[in-house]
Amino acid sequence: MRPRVSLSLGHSSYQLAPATGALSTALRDGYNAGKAARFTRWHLPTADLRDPSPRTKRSYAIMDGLTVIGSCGLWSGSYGGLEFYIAIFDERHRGRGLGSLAVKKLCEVAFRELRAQRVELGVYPENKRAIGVYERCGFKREAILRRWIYNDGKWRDALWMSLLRREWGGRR
Amino acid sequence: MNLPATWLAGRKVRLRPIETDDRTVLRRFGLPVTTAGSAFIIQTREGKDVGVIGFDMRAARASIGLRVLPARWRDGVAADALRVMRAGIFKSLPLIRLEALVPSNDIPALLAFRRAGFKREGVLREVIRVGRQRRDAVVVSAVNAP
Repeated sequence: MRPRVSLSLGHSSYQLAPATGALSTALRDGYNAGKAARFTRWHLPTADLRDPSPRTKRSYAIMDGLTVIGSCGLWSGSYGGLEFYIAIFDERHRGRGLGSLAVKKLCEVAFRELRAQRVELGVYPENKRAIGVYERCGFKREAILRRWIYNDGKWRDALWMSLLRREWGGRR
Repeated sequence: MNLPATWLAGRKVRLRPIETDDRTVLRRFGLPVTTAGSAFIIQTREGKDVGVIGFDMRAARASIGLRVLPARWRDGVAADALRVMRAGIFKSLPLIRLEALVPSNDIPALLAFRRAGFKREGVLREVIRVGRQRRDAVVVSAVNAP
């Protein structure tokens, strides 16, 4: 099921727009852009292949006005619950709190609307900035999964993190 | 003894590919088997069925699971089956990572995976369902070198 409405992110100018066909070219080009690809290629092969039309899937384009500057969403988890993903294509929008806003908004969707018990995610262990964002949003480190993802010509590890429903409840 | 080419042999057990007639055996052990992988019956070298082992593939990863008769816990049967299965998988399939989620309180299983050379990577919280409860699970893995 595709989300039908756009979500605004706090008081920022950013919005999450449902990732419809009209945005797919912009999303593809964003994923393939040089700067972003080092981290975001993670999502490219699986994001849309993994589950074509599950009840729980949500994919959004992150918009700044009419421009697609990133992508984020939820799909059924690799291990349990729902799995969160995000990629910010345009470097100029990094480090401005956009990631935190998107994580918080999608956790709300996952726990409130989709009744998830657990939201999980994988992140490159060297991506300190992203890990910091997730920890500030309440995610806990669980495991280093070896050779979890193929990127940049080699198999790389992933740090696996999760946020449980009861933990999120305490943060509202 | 010469085994058929599709069988796998270890020091204590041998693994025989499942056949249609094995449905009752699989049911007895309660191991779910899907079409995305494969399953084998664990036999002692004397030919007695003592368990089942199977794996599911997802891209370059596979998850592995097994069930062994309680009477044969802690005597090396499970570890040997895992060792043989792992060697067979990495030898013949293009897989990089073999993993399992083991309930944190399942000590015999954790020991078996450790004895078979699987490494403990961490604990995933409330990730498996047992009846109505959610339980933590240890994630263990073996990776295909190099």
